[in-house]
Amino acid sequence: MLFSSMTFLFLFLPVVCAAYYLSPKRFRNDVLLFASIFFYAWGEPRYVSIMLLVIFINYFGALFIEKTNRKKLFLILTIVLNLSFLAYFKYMNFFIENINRLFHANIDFLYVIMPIGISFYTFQAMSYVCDVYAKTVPAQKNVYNLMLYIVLFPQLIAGPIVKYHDIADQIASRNENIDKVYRGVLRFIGGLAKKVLLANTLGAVADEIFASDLQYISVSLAWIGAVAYAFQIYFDFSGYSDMAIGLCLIFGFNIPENFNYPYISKSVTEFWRRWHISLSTWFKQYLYIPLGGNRISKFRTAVNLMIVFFVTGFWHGASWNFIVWGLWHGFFVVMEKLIAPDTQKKGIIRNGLLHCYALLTVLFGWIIFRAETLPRAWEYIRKMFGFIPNRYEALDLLYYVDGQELLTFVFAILLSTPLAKGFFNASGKLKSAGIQVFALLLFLLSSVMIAAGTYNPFIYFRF
Amino acid sequence: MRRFVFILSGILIAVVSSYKFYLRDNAPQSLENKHGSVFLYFSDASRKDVRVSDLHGARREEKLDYCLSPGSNCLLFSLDTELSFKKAEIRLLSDKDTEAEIIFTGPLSERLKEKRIEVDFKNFYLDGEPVFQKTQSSWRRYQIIYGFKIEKEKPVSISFEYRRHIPDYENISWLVLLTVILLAGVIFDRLEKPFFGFFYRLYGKGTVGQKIFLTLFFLILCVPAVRLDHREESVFENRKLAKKPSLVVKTKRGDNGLALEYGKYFDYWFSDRFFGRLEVISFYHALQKSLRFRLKTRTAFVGRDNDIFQIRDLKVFDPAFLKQLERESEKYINVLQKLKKWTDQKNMKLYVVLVPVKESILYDRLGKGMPAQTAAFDQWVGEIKEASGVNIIYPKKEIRQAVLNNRDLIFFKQDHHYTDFGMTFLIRELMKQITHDFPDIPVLSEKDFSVTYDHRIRHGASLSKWQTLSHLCTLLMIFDKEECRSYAKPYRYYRNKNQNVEIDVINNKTTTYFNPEGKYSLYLLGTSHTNQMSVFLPFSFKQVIKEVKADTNITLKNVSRYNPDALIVVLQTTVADRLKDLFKE
Repeated sequence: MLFSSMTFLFLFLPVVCAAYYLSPKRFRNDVLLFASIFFYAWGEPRYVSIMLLVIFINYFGALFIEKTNRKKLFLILTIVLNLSFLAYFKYMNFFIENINRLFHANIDFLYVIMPIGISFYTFQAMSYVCDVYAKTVPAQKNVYNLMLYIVLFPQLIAGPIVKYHDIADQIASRNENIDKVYRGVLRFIGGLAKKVLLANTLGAVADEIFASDLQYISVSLAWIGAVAYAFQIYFDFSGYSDMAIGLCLIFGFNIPENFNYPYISKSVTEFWRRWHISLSTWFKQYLYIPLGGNRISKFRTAVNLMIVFFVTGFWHGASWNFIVWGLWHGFFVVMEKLIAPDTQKKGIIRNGLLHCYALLTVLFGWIIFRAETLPRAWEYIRKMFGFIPNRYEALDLLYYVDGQELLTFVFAILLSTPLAKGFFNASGKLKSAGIQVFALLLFLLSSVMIAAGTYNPFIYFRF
Repeated sequence: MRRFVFILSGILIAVVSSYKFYLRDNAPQSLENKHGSVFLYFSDASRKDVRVSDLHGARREEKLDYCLSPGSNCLLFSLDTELSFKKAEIRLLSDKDTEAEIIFTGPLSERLKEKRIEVDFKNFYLDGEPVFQKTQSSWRRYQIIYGFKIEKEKPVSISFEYRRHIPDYENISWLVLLTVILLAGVIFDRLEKPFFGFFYRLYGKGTVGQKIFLTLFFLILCVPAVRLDHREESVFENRKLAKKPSLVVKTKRGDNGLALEYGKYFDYWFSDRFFGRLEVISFYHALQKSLRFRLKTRTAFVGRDNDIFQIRDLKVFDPAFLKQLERESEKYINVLQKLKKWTDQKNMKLYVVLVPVKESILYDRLGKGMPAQTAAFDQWVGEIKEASGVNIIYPKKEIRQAVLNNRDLIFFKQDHHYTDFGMTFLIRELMKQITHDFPDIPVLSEKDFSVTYDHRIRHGASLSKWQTLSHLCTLLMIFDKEECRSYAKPYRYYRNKNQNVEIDVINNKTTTYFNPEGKYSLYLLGTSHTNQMSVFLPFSFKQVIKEVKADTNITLKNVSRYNPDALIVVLQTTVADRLKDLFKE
C-alpha cells in the first residue's frame, strides 16, 4: 500500500487513526502492530512470513547475545542470517547473471520476487542486534515490541531506517497529544504534496526524456531531464520520509530526520550528511566505525570510505549502476578528505563554485543511478555535452515543459533550499491560521491529483 | 444531555442507513431509483409533426430504444427523480390535429423496466387546467394514462411534479424497525464513553485552531468512502468499472485459495468508485486548463487551431518506432509477399492502404516544439512497397496538399478520423489504383453525392458509447458536451444519391453492402478508417464486405467464403508494425 494511494489515504489511515485513539492505551501497540502487518500483507501477503522470520531470528539472536558468553558468534550468526535473506531475495539473480557472464556459465535464474522493504527492515533488525551487542540497549524480552519496531507501517517500506536505540523507549511508553498529532498531520501533508505535486510532475518529465532516443532530444532537454530526475528523486524520497515522520508523530513516535536540504551542499561529503541521513549514519555507525573509521591511516580511511560507498551503492539495488553510483560518490568523498576544502570559509565566488561542483557531481551521479545500464548512462552524459548529434528533428523543450511543469520547477528549486522554511517561520501569521488553511488546501490539491490519477479512459487501440 | 443527543443521533443514523432491512416490497428500490419517464403518443401524427417548443425539468430521451425512429408516433421524456418533488413543463406545437395520450411511468432501462420501481406524480395540469393534484404512484406495469386533444398550430402546455416514490406505512416492517432502534440505542449507549474519551484523548489540550484543523483533516479523509459508486461502467471513460474482488478465489486445481492480489484489485475497485470521483476529475481538468499553455493529459493534447491530437499517434515521429520498422522490414516484406501470393492464387487483387495519421498530416498544428517530418517513415514505406511488389497506397503528400488547398476540414478537430471530405482524397488515390486493375469500375464524382455541413462527428459503431462526446475529448478529460462541442467546426459530409444500396449489419464488426448496379465484389478489412471509406466504396462495387478489425490478421476463412474480386487492407500508419501479423497460413 502506498501512502499516496486512495486506499491508504481515505480508508486505511482514518480507520487506523480511529482504532488507535479509540483503544485504551495498553492496546495501542497491538492496534499499530496489527495495522502494520495488515499494511504489509496488503501488497505482499506471501512475504509476511519472511518478515516475521527475520524478526524471530533477531529476537532470539539478541537474547543469545545478551545471555551467553559467545556474544560475537551469535552477533555474526544473526547478521549472516539477515544478510542471507537480502542476498537471496535481492542479489541472487545479480550474482548468477555476473557468474554466467564472467565464466560463460549457464546457471538458471531464480524465480524470486523481492519482498517490499526488505532492505529497510533487515537493516533495522541488524541495528537492533548490534545495539544489544554493544550494550547500548538491553535485549527486548517482549517479541511484540520488537515486532512493532521492525514493522511499524509508517517507516516499513521506505524508511527512514530507525535505529533501535532511538525508539526503544517510545515503544514501551510514549505520550500522544494534540500538538504531536497536529505537527504530524502538517508534516504528512507536506510530504504528500512533495510526492504528488512535485515529484510526480517532474518524474513524468524525467521519464519521458530518459526514455527518448538520444538522437531525438536536444542538449538542453538532456539537461532538463537530468535536473527533473534530481528533483524527482529528492522530493519523492524526502516526501515519503516526511509522510513517515508525520505518521509516526500522529501515533506519538518521534523518529529522526532523514533529509536536510541536500542540494545546498558545498561538497559531496556534506551532501551525504544531508541526504538519506538515516542510511548514512547507519553505515557510519555499524560499518565505517567498526572497520576502523578514520583512526588508522589516511590510506585505510580511504579504503574504508570506498567500502562504505560500495556497500551503500549496492544496498540501493542489485545492479552495476548502483555500485558505480556508490563508488562515484565514494571517490569524491575520498578526494575531499585528502584535499580537505574548507566549506566554512566565506566568499560568494568560492562557495558558488563549491556548490556548483557538488551539484554537478551529484547530478551526474543521478544519471548513473537512473539510466537502465552503464553504457546508457555514459551516452546520456555525452549527450549533455553535445557529443551525440541529432539524427532526427529534436523535440523542443516546450513539449515537455508547460505551465504546470514550469511552476513545479520553480517550487522545486525554492523548496529544495531552506528559503521556504524561513518564510514560514518568519511570518507569525502563517504559523497559525494561515498555515492551517494553506495545509488543508495543499492536502485537497494533492488529493485531487491522486484522484485524477484514477482517471483511466479506455484507449481503443490499433485505430 | 450529551448522552441523550449521542444516542438519538446514533438511532437516526441507524434508521437512515438500514432502510433496506425494514422497508418491504419494492420500497427500497423505488427510494433509490433516479429515473422516471413520460410518454406522449399521437394517434394522427408522428413525432416529426410535433415540436417541443419548451422543456423544463425533463429531458428528451435519446439513449433508450423508444420512439427514436423519425416515423414513430411518440415522444419520450426522461425524468431525473429526487426525494423532493421537482416540477416539469412541456410545451408542444403540432402541425396536425391529433388525439394524444400522456403516460406517466417508471424507469424504462433494460435493467430496471421489469422491476416494480414506482415514481410519484402530482399536480398534473393540462393548459393550466388541473387533471389530478394528489400524489399518485406509477410504474411500467401500472401506468397513469390520460388522453387529450392537440389542435393544429395551437400550443399545448403540460406541467406536473414528480419525485422518487416515498414508502408509506404499509411498506414498513415495524417490528424490524423497532429492533433497529433498540439495537442502535443499546450500541450507542455503550459507545458513548469510549467515543468522547477518544475526543478527549485526541483533542485534550489543543488550541481552537488545531482542533478545527484536525477535525477538517480527518473529515476530508472520510469523505471518499462515504458513498461508493455502484454503477457497472463509466460512460466518460468508455470502460467497465472495477468489480469488488473476492478474498477467496478458486485455484487452478479448483480448490479455494486466498487471493494474493486482493489488495491490488481492491485498490482498483476503490479508486473507481469513491465518492465524488468524476467531480474531482472535472475539477482537475479545470485546474489543468488554467495552469497549462495548452491542454494536455497523458494521452492527448490540444494543438494549434484547437485541433486535438493523440500522444500515442506521435509514434510516427519516434525514432524507436522507425528503428523497429527498419529492423523488421524483412518480416513485413515476407508477409506481404505471402499475402500477395495467396490473393493471386485466389484471383483477387490486393491493395494495402496505409492511412496517414492525423498528426503526420497536420504536423504544423501540433504546436511549438513538436516534430515536423516523417521523411524517414515515408522512405521506409517506399522501400517496403518496392521490395514486396504489393500495391501499397500511402497518399500522404496528396492529403497534405488537400489540407493546404482547401478550407473545408480534412480531419475532425476533436477526433483522429478523417472527415468525409478528407476521405475523398484518400479514396481518389485508392481508386486510381483500382481502376488500373478494373478499368470498367465506376469512379464517382462530387455530383453523385449530396453535400451537407454538420458540427457532429460521424460515429463508427465502436464509438457509440461516447454518445455526443468524442474519443479525444474523453482522453482530455472533457466531460462537458458543450466544451467538447466548442472544438468542433462545420464538417463537410457526403451522402450518395443512389438509394438502392442495401446495407446488412451482420455483427458489430462486419457489414455488407449490396449495390445492384455494381459489377465487382470487395472485401474491405482494417481499422476504423474503413467506416469512413464505406461512405464511398459501396457505390463503385456490387458487393462490399466491411470488417472492422483492430488486430487485422486476415482470417482466410472469412475472405475465402466471400471470394471477392479485390481485397483492401486498411492500416493506420501508427500500427504499420502490425503488417507482420497480417497474414498467417
